[in-house]
Amino acid sequence: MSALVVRSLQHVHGHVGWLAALALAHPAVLLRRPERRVFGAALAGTVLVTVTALMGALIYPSYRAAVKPVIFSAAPTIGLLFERKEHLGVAALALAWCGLAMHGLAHRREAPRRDLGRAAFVAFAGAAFAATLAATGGLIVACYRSL
Amino acid sequence: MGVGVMPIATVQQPRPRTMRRTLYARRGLQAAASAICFLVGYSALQMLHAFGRDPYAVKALSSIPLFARLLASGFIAGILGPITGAVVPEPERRLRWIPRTLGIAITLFVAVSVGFP
Repeated sequence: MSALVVRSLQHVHGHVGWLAALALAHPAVLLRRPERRVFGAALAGTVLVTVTALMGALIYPSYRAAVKPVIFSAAPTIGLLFERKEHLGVAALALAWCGLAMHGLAHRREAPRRDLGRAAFVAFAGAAFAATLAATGGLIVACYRSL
Repeated sequence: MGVGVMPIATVQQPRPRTMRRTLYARRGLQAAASAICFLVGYSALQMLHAFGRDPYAVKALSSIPLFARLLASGFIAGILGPITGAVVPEPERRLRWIPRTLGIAITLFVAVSVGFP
């Protein structure tokens, strides 16, 4: 992949990451009433976090080769912050898919709507929290050094 | 003269309400158990990595440790989650435990990610 493509992907990844964090907070807020139907918001948040994760996975090998050694030699705290952000992004992805599955099941006919809705709320709240922490970490690292 | 009516034997009766409720509760348990297994498995592998004790099977999955852990946790979740959800008795009652259990798994994951990057 050319340097220009990687740099462009990195910028888009950062912006879409913040969008994903906000989009995941939306179903979490709406699902405070667990029986509510918020499939559109849940699907949008999940798609955005998945696209962000895919872009992150595409640029990670370039980051690992070009930026990580420089950051770790100059500012290990920032390097470790990047590692933490990666783990939190993984959690946001897994929880968003779990929340979407639970919410989808909750609105099937005669499903235990309230219990499934509560579980979907916890999953989306966790996903939004992890995504926000990951996006903040990514922003700090990008301010320090980027591709 | 009466008209004979042949019963249509192939028409399926709708599933009773409780059966459907139990089925969806079990599916929900399987999805939640997969997410919990993923978070706990990833945390365990992350701690092993922090102590320099990556399992060989995980290392073999990818040369990049992050991707290897992600794949390994995905395998753990994809196998253990559906099995756990399928064998748990009384799925409707157990489903009420999911929000708390998921919350504990999220807390554990965040603590391990922050403490052992």
